[in-house]
Amino acid sequence: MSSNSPAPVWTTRSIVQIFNGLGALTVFGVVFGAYGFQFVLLEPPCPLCLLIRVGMIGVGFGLALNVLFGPRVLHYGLALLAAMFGALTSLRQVMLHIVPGTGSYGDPAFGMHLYTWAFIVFVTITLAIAVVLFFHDQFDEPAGPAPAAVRWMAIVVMSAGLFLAGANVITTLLECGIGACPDNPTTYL
Amino acid sequence: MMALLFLGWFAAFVLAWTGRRVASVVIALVSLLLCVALLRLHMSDDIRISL
Repeated sequence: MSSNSPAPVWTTRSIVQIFNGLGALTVFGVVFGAYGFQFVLLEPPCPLCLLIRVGMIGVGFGLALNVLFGPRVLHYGLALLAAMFGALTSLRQVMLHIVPGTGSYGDPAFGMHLYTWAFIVFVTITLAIAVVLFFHDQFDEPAGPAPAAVRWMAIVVMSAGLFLAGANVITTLLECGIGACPDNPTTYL
Repeated sequence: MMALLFLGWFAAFVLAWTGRRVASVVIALVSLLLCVALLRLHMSDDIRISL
């Protein structure tokens, strides 16, 4: 680094960027976990499960933009819209199975089904974004270059998001083809 | 059809990483709109496609 360039400083902006990165990694971790169910426990995802995954990736995308480009209201708005979509989708699936005797889809994890956990994750993400928005300093222009940790976090979250979105294109194509997904999938094409 | 949604998000990630922030947000919003349309399809009264 030349002696003229300002040293990286930790500000509210960079701390919030790291926080956004951790949030993105959390939702990407949930999708990685869903892949565990798909390939380790051999439970192909149902159509609503795939839509919940899309919601998770959407939330992660909005948060990843905050890490990559800095916090913006637009990025938070996108993450909130994706979280609302995901919450609505998972709630729909909970409601489908809430009547006694209607069964459930897949095995439970830690006492609840994945779609119930997904609803809790989407609501928690929405609350976390609401709390983070209290810190108005994050929208100030940066006084200097971002710390190395923020730049590394951007690389990690973008790599994870890109990998998950790409992997889901392939596995969904193998499961559903180009038409509508089967309602109770058991095999791949 | 569902794979197209993930392809949309994949494209959004590629655009964002190559610095095209606004284009990536536009693609993400279009993908989200398609997600809502597909969710509406799966909220049909036909239980076979409602799961």
